[in-house]
Amino acid sequence: MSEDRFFQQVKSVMSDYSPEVPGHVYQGVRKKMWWSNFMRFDASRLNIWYIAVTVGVATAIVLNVGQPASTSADNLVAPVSSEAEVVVSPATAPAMTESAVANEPQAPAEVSTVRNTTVEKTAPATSHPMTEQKVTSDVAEVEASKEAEQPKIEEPQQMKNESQAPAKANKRGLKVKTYSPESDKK
Amino acid sequence: MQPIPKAMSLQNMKDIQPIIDGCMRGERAAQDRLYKQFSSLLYGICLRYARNKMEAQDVLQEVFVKIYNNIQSYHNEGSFEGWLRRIAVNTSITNYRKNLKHAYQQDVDELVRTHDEPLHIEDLEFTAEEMMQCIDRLPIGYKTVFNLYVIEGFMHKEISDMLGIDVNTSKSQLSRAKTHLQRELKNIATIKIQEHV
Repeated sequence: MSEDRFFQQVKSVMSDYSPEVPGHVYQGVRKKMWWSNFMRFDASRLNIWYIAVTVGVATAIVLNVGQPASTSADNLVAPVSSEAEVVVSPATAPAMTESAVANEPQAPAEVSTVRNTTVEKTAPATSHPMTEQKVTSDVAEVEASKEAEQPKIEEPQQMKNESQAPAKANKRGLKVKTYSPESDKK
Repeated sequence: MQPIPKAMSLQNMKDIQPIIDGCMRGERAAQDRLYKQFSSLLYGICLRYARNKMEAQDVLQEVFVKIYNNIQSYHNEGSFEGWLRRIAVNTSITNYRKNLKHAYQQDVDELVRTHDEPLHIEDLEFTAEEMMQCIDRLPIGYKTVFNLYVIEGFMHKEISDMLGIDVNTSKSQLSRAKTHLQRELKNIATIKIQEHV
């Protein structure tokens, strides 16, 4: 009975105990609510799902764009393509372009011209003999010009001396020791 | 404490219904109003179960996030305030169970200092702050069982299920909490009497 009285006394005092809440607590509630909403999917709001999809799509685009770019770079040899634009006869070009477009309607125009040039290159029977000659001669010219452009690396004077040293020593009748890692270990 | 008249509580429900509807639609203004109306009451509950004010404030934040996110599950069955209280108590219990390892050591330490003395303080009056001060000094295990049994009105079986303890443990902790609390209250009463004299 005494226990009940004490408990009743405590309950009556404490059940409606309402102290003042510090102001910063509500700011914390708002932050937690923002995070909670951000982590949950909602079509009307920006949330982590949209960001994840955007990042995924962007990654996929970057990866997909990277691959065709490298293959087309292999096919696109600048002199050949520029030459092909000049060489392809107006009578055959529209027909070939049309067939390429029919096969791959989404492919860009550049790709179709590149394919035309490949046809020109690999099938000399269908192409004009003069064209074939011109292409090959152009390629040779380009390679020659590339070689000419490459700067000659001059051997440093010290290295020259080192390479000539054994010959000179032999002439004088001296033994020449050459450095090797194995001898160094010994 | 005087019970709230029925008409008044109905009026209260009429006032609160637009706020509940607004919260269900996720309106910020309605959420603000709900916080203003109930934050103090729920903070009081959190304080009773938490070790300190910081912990109580963290639990209160969790309580409001749960309320805002789960208000759709309130179907106007029973009192809204009761529903809010239940969320606050459940969140506090979850928090208590999370920190159970640290609590055990404190209980053992406090057991040494517990003495059973017959005390009669039922005729004395205490403010809520004084009571809170004494409850706050209880070891966390005693405090939790005491709050659940005395203020929330749970039975020992329910408490043992909620806290994952034995029924007899719940009973003994309540008994010790009572003794502890009575002694603390008696000290406060003695100081008050001395101040008056």
